Parts: sequence; structure tokens; C-alpha cells
Amino acid sequence: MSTVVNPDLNAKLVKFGNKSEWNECYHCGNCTAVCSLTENENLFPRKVIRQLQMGLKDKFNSNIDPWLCYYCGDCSETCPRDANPGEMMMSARRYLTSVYDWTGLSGLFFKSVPALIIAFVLVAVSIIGVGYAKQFNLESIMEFGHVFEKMLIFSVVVLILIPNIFHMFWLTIIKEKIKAPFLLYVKGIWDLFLHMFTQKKSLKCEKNTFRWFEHLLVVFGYILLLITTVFLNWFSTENTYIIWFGYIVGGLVFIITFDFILERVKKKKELSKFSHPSDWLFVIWLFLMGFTAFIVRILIDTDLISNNLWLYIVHLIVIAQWGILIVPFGKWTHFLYRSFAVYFANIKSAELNS
Amino acid sequence: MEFEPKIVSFLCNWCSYTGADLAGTSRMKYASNIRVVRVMCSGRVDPTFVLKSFREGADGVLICGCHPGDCHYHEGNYKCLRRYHFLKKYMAQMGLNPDRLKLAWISASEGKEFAQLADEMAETIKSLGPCKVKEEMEIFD
Amino acid sequence: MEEKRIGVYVCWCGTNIAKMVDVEAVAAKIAKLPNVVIAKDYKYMCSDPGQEMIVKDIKEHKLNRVVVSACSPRIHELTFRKALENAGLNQYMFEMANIREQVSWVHDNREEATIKALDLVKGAVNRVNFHEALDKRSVDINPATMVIGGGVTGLSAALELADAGNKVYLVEKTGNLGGHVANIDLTFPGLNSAAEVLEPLIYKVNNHPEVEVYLNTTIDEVFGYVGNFESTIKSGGKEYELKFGNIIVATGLTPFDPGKISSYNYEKLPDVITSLELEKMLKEGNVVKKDGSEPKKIAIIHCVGSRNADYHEYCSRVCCLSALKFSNQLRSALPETNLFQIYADMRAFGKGCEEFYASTSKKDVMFLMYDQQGDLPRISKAEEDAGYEMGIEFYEKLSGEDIIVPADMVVLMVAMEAHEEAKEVAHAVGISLCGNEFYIERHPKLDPVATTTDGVYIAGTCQGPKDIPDSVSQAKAAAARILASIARGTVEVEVTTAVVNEDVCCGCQTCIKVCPYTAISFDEEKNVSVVNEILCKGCGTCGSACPTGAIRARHFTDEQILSQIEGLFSKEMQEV
Repeated sequence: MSTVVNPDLNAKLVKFGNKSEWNECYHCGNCTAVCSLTENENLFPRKVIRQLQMGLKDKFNSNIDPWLCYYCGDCSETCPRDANPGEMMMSARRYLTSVYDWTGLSGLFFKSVPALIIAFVLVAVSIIGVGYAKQFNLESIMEFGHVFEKMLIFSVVVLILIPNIFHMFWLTIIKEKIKAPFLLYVKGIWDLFLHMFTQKKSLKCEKNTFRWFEHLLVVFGYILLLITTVFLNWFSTENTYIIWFGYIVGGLVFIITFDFILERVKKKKELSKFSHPSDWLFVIWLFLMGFTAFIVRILIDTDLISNNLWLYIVHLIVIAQWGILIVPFGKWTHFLYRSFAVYFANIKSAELNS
Repeated sequence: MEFEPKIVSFLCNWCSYTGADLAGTSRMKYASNIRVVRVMCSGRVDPTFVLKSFREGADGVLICGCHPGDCHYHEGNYKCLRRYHFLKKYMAQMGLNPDRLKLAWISASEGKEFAQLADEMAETIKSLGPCKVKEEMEIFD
Repeated sequence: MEEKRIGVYVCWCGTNIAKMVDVEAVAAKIAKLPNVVIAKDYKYMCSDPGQEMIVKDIKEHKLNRVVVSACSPRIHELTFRKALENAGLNQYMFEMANIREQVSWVHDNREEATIKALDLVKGAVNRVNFHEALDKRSVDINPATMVIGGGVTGLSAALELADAGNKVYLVEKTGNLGGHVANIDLTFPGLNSAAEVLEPLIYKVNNHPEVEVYLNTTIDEVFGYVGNFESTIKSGGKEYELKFGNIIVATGLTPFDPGKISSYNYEKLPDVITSLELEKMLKEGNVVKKDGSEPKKIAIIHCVGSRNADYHEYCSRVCCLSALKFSNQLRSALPETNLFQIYADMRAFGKGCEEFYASTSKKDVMFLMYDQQGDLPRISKAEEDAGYEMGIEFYEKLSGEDIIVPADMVVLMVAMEAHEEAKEVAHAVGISLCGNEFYIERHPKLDPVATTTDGVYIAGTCQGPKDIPDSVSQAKAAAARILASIARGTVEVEVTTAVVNEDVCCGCQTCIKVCPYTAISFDEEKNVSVVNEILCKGCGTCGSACPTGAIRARHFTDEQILSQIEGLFSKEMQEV
């Protein structure tokens, strides 16, 4: 069955990227040739660009390939037309995030900076409102904060992330008529978690070794910080080990994210040359989370916290904005989609090769 | 050793010789039995030339000219055609197989056709075997 | 009789010949033939050192005949003749054996190729024994020129010649000057108005004292030879006797009829139009569908009739850029319209053209590639509620998908064909056509505007598809060639005409009947035939018809050709 081409998709994707340089592409295929990650079943970035240029919307929405790219930037460097395929893949990931998101908020935040600012302000005002309602009492606010964090994690996972993963599964596997036996799904689980936490695949891009290490530290730092603050109750604990552990992971997160921010400012590497608002938010908020947590704990240890309650409220605002906006609708989701993409792609190629 | 005939080929300068050159510039491969003699027009091909070729030891003669209506000299190829028919009859009377003589039209753009023609002619003459005119004439000498 | 001293030179042509022919062995064997004084092989005979070697040997070894065994005489015969002349030898004491185009390039058995090359060189050596010195004849050049075709090429050529103070007769078949460029709105890649190019040319030609324009006129027959042509033309009910020294043929092109390609449904679907029709719409500033509404989606299909073995194998060279030009024009005229370029290969050569392609690709145009080796796109009517008029279905090569392109209007970029009357003109002026009806130039690289008929030049799209700059370049090149010959005032013409030996002629007048140029008359008094050397073009037909051998075709005499045949079979060094 022939597909009708749709020139509107192109214009749509422009809103998710910095520019629309991909229209310059004349399909020499150099990008795919230099790519360390593309494989027979998943030919990118050229094929993705083609689907995009031609507006093969259904195929594009069901395409898993953008998630398999770890943006080393080789393709953009080698492109004779400066069509910037690497950034196109990045834009495609933002677009796909909005496609998977059933609420539609993801698309709104990616496309509209005003909407994003309004949402961030609203969250901040709400947290200040809570503080006001608790009469700016340190203990009750901290207690609220602790419960709020747990509730937030639970509801984001159940209401947003799990349905979106199923949506992704439906688009990339069911709609593509891949009928893999159940056993394949079970076998792949190990890979799923391996890639989720280690991004092992990105090591194939030779340039990425240092960045992979940084990324790995951030992932673990972030997860451990989450565990220490939410489940080990870092801010209220008396356990010295946990306190020190919290300092280490918190410091790890903000030091490395500071380096990430610096790179985006310097724009030296291909992957940090172009920054979408969502990229800035992601790294800055990650930094702020680690940094504010670190400072708050220092204030607690030096007994200065009661005079500097505002700092805890700032920390809470950062956490809330992160948890309500960035995790479900922003760049955070790549943590899940990338690993599930590897998982689905493995199932898909195993099925196609059998 | 396999019989390798020698075929004298008279090509007109404007169409057929250019066509044969085109076969070369296009790197087409054909049998190496053809020996080309260039004339300005197929109308220049005197029957004596053909008979002389057989006398000297040719196993076949191929004449090529411009397509009818395309002659650089308007009608030289028609005159050649007339002489050709006459020659065929004469050859038969003299006990020489008329199939050893062939006339074909090759235009300047027909390199491929020339190459095919050369191969066909070589095949035909191979199937007819060597021409004995020269040996027989030597008896008289 | 002087002693015959022959020099034979076997060319390697780099590896072109040497790879397939044992040139050293050929030279060594030929050296043993009677009258052969020296036989050498050399890398490139046509190079300066190669030619100098001939000149030096002629002087040193007192050679009086030369054979070069190399490429086709059509390429370098004149080069070597010149070398002979430089050495003070008559240039006709030369013969060439073609062992490249007709040996090394067409055979793949080295042994057989070497035997054949040897035979051909033997033939040439035998023939050159009988060559005789001929003098070139010099004739005056009539400075007037006839230009056939009043398009941009013909106009440019006419002006170039007339501005130098020479008479030009410009003959145009239709009632208007300007040709196809007159129907074009803008030119690529600069998007300048075509009228800016054309109007000044037409104005100048119409008002030039040296140019006589004959509209609605065709050429039936041209008589004479370089420097002295004449023709009678009918124009406006009157007959004109024109005399001129040179001819420029600039008959131009005919657009391909897309009705021949059934899958495009041209003339069956109302909004499938040709590039010419779109050009007209753009010129009128009114791009609309047949029902008068504005098209929301316009698709442009490339290579319609070009680069396809079923129609024309050649590339028409201007369609890609014209299509890009259309994209630019349509983008400004209808900013909201979706534009699709359905191409086979994008060929944006030429000054400023790749840049034009790059800038067009930024203007929201979708480029889709079809496979020319496979099925051509198929245009069919879309369903009622599809939201577009027609669907163009094809296999998109870059994505590997079968797709349908929605369109309200389809533009077919039709190929260029030679002018439908190219053949008639070719006969009238005595030039040849390639297989695809375009005129053949004397040499594609070394002599691209001359033809094999002296004094007749070709320019513009009658020689092959090309754009305006290339056509004008050719027009000016042809004009420059003619101006050079006018400046010289005389031209040397070949003397390879027929000549009658009055002692042998029996007055049967057979030759008079066969001569296509009525160049032979009968001298009643002497009872012999007489050749008019000015009219004779040297075909030699009379020579083969003469029963007594009285009439000879110079440089193609009976004894020359017969000795060449003997040479082909000579056994003299067969066993060497």
C-alpha cells in the first residue's frame, strides 16, 4: 500500500528543533556510513531524515531509531551539506516524546516557552502557598515535602510514565505488526535495565567514553540522591553514613551537571552546540537539585536551617518543578524511552531475523 | 587451428567509417577479421576493388555506406547498391559464393550495429570456409 | 622516377594501443618492407615531440612518404599532414592506419589484434607508395553569411558577424524572431527576465544595416562550397538569389510530446501540463487550474522523455534547473502551495547552478526521487474526498517506500528534441545527423561548432540540448570561426576532386550521368568529359563507373586503393 506524502510533518518538527537544516540533506548517506550505532534493521540518521522530509508521519511516529542514537555528533561533522543530522535526531526524540505522551502537555512544553514559564511559576507559587498555609513552620514544611516527594513519584510513574511506555510499545511494536513470542520479552528484561542504568550502547560511539562515564555518575548520583532523600530521609536522619553518602551523591550530581552546563555554554562539541530550552532546563534543574540539597544538608548540620527556611523552600520548588514538569513531560523521559527502545529494537530484530 | 577468415571492408568516410570509429570509442568488442579500407563514398567502391580483394586472398568482402537518403553525396549509396546486385550475379556466374559479399548501411551513430555486423559477417564466412580464388589463380600463374 | 623513401611511425597512444597491440613488433616487421627507410614506435605521435620526430626524420633520412599508424584519421590526419608540410613535404604524401578505434579498442586478443594492425599498416605502406603530390586550391571567401534560425543562437551569431561589418542573411521559418526563449518568463539561475536577454537582440537585428531578415522562409537547397555558397529562397512571394561564404545552422529544438508516455495521462487529465504551458502561465502571471481555481499542491516531474531508453537516452540538460526555477517562481506567486519535485537525478551543473539548487532546497520544496530504471510515476485521478485532484504513485528511491504524491497540478519537464525539420536542413546544406537527429559536429571536443562540410557551422540546440549561455557561446564561437576565415580572405579547399585523362576518355558520358553535382560536362569539340573542380566534391562515384579508367578520383585513385588491398594480403613479412 502506498503512503501519501505529507509536507506538514516537516513544519511540525521544526517547532521541536532549533532549525530545519535537515532540508539541506541530499542523501549522500555519509551520516549513516560514519555512524557507529546504525545497523541493518535500524538505518539512521539518513532514513529518519527521509521519512521526515517526505512526511511519512505514521512511519515516523512508529520509528524507534531516533532513540538508538546517542548523539556523538559524527554525522553532523561529516555532513557535506551541513544538514546537521545529529540535531535532527535530537529534535525527532523531542517530537516522539510528545507523540508518546497521552496528556499532550509534553508537546506544549517543548513547543512553547511561555507555557513552560507559566507552568514553572505556577508550581513555584503553589509551593510558596503551601509554605504560607503551614505558616512557614520548618518541621511541618519538611514533613510535607517528604510526603509530597513520595506521592509525586508514585503518581508520575503510574499516571504518566507507564501509560506512555505502553503507548510507545503500541506504536513501535503492535502497529508495526511485530508478533514476538512472550519469551523474547522476558529474555530482554536484563538488557532493558542494563541499558537503562548504564547506557552501555553509547560506548560504541568512540568519542563518548568520557561523557559516558560522566553520564553514568550522574545517573547513579541522581538515583542514589533520590533514594537518600526520599527513602532514607537524608534531611532528618542522624545516621552519619547516610549523611556522608548524601553529601557525596549530591555533590556528584551538581559537580557533573555543572560541567554539562559549562559545555553547553562553550558549544565546543557537536552535541553541546545546540541547546533547546528543554535541554537547558534539564541540566540546570538537575544541578539545582543537587546543589540545593547539598546546601540544605549543610545548613542542617550547621544548625542554620531555621534561619534560612527560604532555602529549603527553594529546594522544594526545584524538586516540585522537576517532578511535576521535567520528569513526566520534559527531557527526563529519555531515561526510559532510550532503554525501552533498545529493548524493543532487540525484540524486533530477533523476531525479523527468525 | 581454427580458420580465421580475412574480410576486406570498404567503409564510406562520412557514415560507416565514423560508425566503426564509434564502436571503438564505445569500446565495443567484435571479431578481428575485418580489414578496413576507407573510401569517400560507397559509390566509389569499384567492382574491381571487390574482385581484387578476392583475388588477393580475401574470404569475404563487406561494403558499408550511409543509409538510403542519408548519403553525404546525395545518391552514391544507391549507385553502390546497383553495382552490388550486379556483382552478386557475376560472382555466382564465376563460381564464387555470392554470400561472401555483403552490403549494409551503417550510420555514424551505429557503432553497436557495426560491431554486430562484423561479428555476423565473420560467422558467415567461417561457415563458408576459406575462399579458394587465390590458390586457384596461382595455378594459372 | 624518384626513389620512394617511406617513414613509418607506430603510436602507442600511451597504453591505449600498446596494451592490445605489440607496437614494437609491428614497427620491427614493417621496417623490413620494401621502400621503408625507417619504422619507429613512440608513446604519443600526436604530441609535439612526436611530430618533431617526423619532421626531423623527413629531413635527415630524406623521406618522401610517411605512414602514421595511430588513431582514426578523422582525429589526427590533419595534424600529421601539417607536420609534413612543416618539413617541406607535400601533405598528401601521407597515409594513416587506424589501429586504435578499429583495432586496439575493439579487440581483446592481443595476438589477433597485432596481426590485424600489421595488415592495416602494410596496406597503408603499399598505398602511400602510389600517393602523388597535390596542390591545395585557394578560393576567395564571400564575406556574407547565411544564418538559419532566428532564435537566441541565430540572433547572437548574426549580430556578432554583422557588428564586424559583414552581411548576414537571417532566415527564420516562423513569422517571429526569438525562438523558444521568447516563450520563457525568467531564466535560471539568476531569475532574470528572458525578455531582457532577447528584446535587445531582436531590436538590434531588426535595425541592423548589415542584417537582412527573411521570416516565414525555409531553405530548399544550397549549392557551392566553402566561401562560395548560393541559394534561392522564397520569402513573401518573392524569390531572392543569395550568395554567401559561410553558413551557420541554428535550427533549434522541438519539445517532446509527453502524450507518448501513457502513465502521465497528458491531455487526459486536465491539470497535467507541460513545462512550456507553465512557462506561459507564469508569463501571464496567472497560475490556475483548468477550472480557474488556485492549485494547492503542485508537483513537477523531471526527465519526461529524457534519460530513458524508450524515449531519449540523452539528458536534456536544462529541465532540472528550469524545474528549480519554477519552484522559486511558484513559491513567490503562491506562497502557501505545497511544491514537490519528482526527479530522477538532480543535475545542477554550470555557473551558479548548484548554488541555485542549494538555495531552492531551503524554500520548503519536497524533493522526491523516482527510479528511472523501474516504472515511471503514474498519475491518476484522486478519489472525490481525498482533498487533492490527482495522485502520483511511484517507488521513492531514497526512502525505499511506495508513495503517492498529492497534487492539484502536475508539470511535466519535457525533453528537448532536435527540430522536426532538422533532416531537411541537413540535406539542404550537406551536414550529417547523429542517431537522435541532432547535428554531428566535426569533433566533439576539438572542433565542436564546425561540421564535416567546410563552411557550414552548427550552434545552439540543433547540435544537442543546451541552455542559453551555452547556445550563445556556440553562436559566438561559430561567428568567430567565420570572422577568422573572412579576415583571411581566402580558404584552401581540398583538391581531392576527380580529374579526366583526356587521352583515355572515350566520351561515353557515363560519368556525367552518375555525378550528383552536375560537376562533369562534355566537351563536344574534344569528345571528352571535363570536370568542374569547383563543383566536384570528390565522392569518386564517376571513378568507379568509368569503363576506361580515364576519370580518376584524386587521392582515392584505383591504383592507390588496389595497392592498399594488395598490401593487406602481402605475404612479405608474414613469416618474420
